[in-house]
Amino acid sequence: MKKLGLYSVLVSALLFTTGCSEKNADVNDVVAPSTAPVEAAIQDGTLLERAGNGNYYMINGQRVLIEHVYFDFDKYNLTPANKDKAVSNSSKLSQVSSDTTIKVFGNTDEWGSDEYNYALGLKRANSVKDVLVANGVTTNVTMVSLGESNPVCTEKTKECWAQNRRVEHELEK
Amino acid sequence: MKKIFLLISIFISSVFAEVDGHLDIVKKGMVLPKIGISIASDSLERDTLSKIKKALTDDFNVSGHFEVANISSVSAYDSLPDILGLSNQGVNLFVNLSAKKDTNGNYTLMTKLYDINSRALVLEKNYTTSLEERFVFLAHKAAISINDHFKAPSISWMDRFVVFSVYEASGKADIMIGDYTLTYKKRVVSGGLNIFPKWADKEQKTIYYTSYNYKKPTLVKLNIYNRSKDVIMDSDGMLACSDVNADGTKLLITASPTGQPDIFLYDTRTRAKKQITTYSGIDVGGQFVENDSKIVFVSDRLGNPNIFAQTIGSSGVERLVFHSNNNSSVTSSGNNVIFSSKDASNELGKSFNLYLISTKSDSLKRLTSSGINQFPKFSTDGQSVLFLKTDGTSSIGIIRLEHNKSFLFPLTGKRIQSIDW
Repeated sequence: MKKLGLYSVLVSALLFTTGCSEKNADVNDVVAPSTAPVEAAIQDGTLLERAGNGNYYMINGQRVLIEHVYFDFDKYNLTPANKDKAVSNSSKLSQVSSDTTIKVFGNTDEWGSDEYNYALGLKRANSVKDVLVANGVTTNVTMVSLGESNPVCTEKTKECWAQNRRVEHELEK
Repeated sequence: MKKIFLLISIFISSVFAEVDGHLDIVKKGMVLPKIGISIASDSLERDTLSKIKKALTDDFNVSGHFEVANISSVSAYDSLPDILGLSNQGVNLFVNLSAKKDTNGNYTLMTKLYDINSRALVLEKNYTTSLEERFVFLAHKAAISINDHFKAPSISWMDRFVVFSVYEASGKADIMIGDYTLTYKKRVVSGGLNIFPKWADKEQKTIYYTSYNYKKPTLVKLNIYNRSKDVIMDSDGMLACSDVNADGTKLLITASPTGQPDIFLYDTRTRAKKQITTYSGIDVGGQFVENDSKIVFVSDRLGNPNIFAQTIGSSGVERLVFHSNNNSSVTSSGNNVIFSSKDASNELGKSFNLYLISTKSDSLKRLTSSGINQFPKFSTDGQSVLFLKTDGTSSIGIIRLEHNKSFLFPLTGKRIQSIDW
């Protein structure tokens, strides 16, 4: 995690520096665009950005969105739409290098009781892991349940609770 | 005078003697001794004493063994109280409080208990702490001593610590200890995600908890006094110590070594673990019952979380609760079981209530009536229940089973993840 964070900072710093220098450059001093070497320097599996619906990773030289997978209240089976998401994630994640570990984090809303919520989070992670493995992901996949401890939304609304019932993916070398 | 005191003692003992330990007994019309509490007029330590007086009032109320009288009578610590005035107000007992601090920072609560009817000082006792911030424990100790003086059923559980985990931010939770009203709180584990604390021994020196600061969720045993640590086991996915048996030799642990949450029995002497449940869905929250021969636990094997029982060593599982379709937490003491039940099956139904059952009968008793009532934990004597209530605000609740009474102490601050008594 720390490594990913460090890489993100370095990448951001490089991109920011590049942007500034381009803005101030004299047209007569134009040199080869610096973006290509920067992208090439980003290691496969690097977290590029966290978005509301998923995380962007550098996979096989491409910026790829690995979407969060959502669940119904008190359920750990995948709805058809969310199964499609998981299958789509699988095809992207099957491209990661073999030394990468895919960590699948299961999360719940605030309802339910302590231990049961952590088990529910784990079963959600397991449902997603099963889809990944069945769809060609051969690298190491591990699971961690965070129960209700890691909400992305803290308002007391139905929509908010639905956002918290999710599985997230992280890549780790 | 001795005869009068003897008569009062016999009166109080006979009242308490009716409480025979059976959980369903509810006393109605029981006359309780009326007790007045006052801070001595010549006391210098008034700020903390005011808090102690409030805590002592709460303790007497929670005990169910005294009725606290609202009195205005004050007297110097070494003087006799206004016996006639108190007697006219119907007060039977009077506690005068004072305090002193020594140069080493030790804080001493001084108490004198008077029997108004016999016009006698019947108990004089001092209680000292090296940390004034722990003043609430002085109140708890004084309440226990006065209660014991009249040979009322023990309330010694008031003096014990509770251990609890508090969410500090997303993915972060610290472990704290406190008194049963959470007036006193002290952080004992911080940094990262630290959850599911349980007392590991009767002396309350060590705890088990799950730490996410290792590669996998890891069960750690920590001595909170000398900070020595022992890693018990780890597991992919999740790990929680659900129960510790009375002598601390056996644990029930929910673990998922193959990605599947199941209940394991762990022997602390041999470090051997044995899988008890093998269902492909969710089995969690194991609790010992019937002298550790059986467990009760939460399982979704019928499609929704509910409470089941299984004899250790046998594969047969028995459904224990036929009330509601969403019962997702359970706690036990002897043969008694309390579960938390969600009254509606969707996330918009915001009512969780606590119910008491027995593994030996079909009885079902509702303990709470409204709001979100969770994390029930029996006291060590099994006669009281600690729980958390969320109903707009959060409170810690105490249910006195024998007295059919409950008390709430408001909580401020962060969300509690899990609590053990």
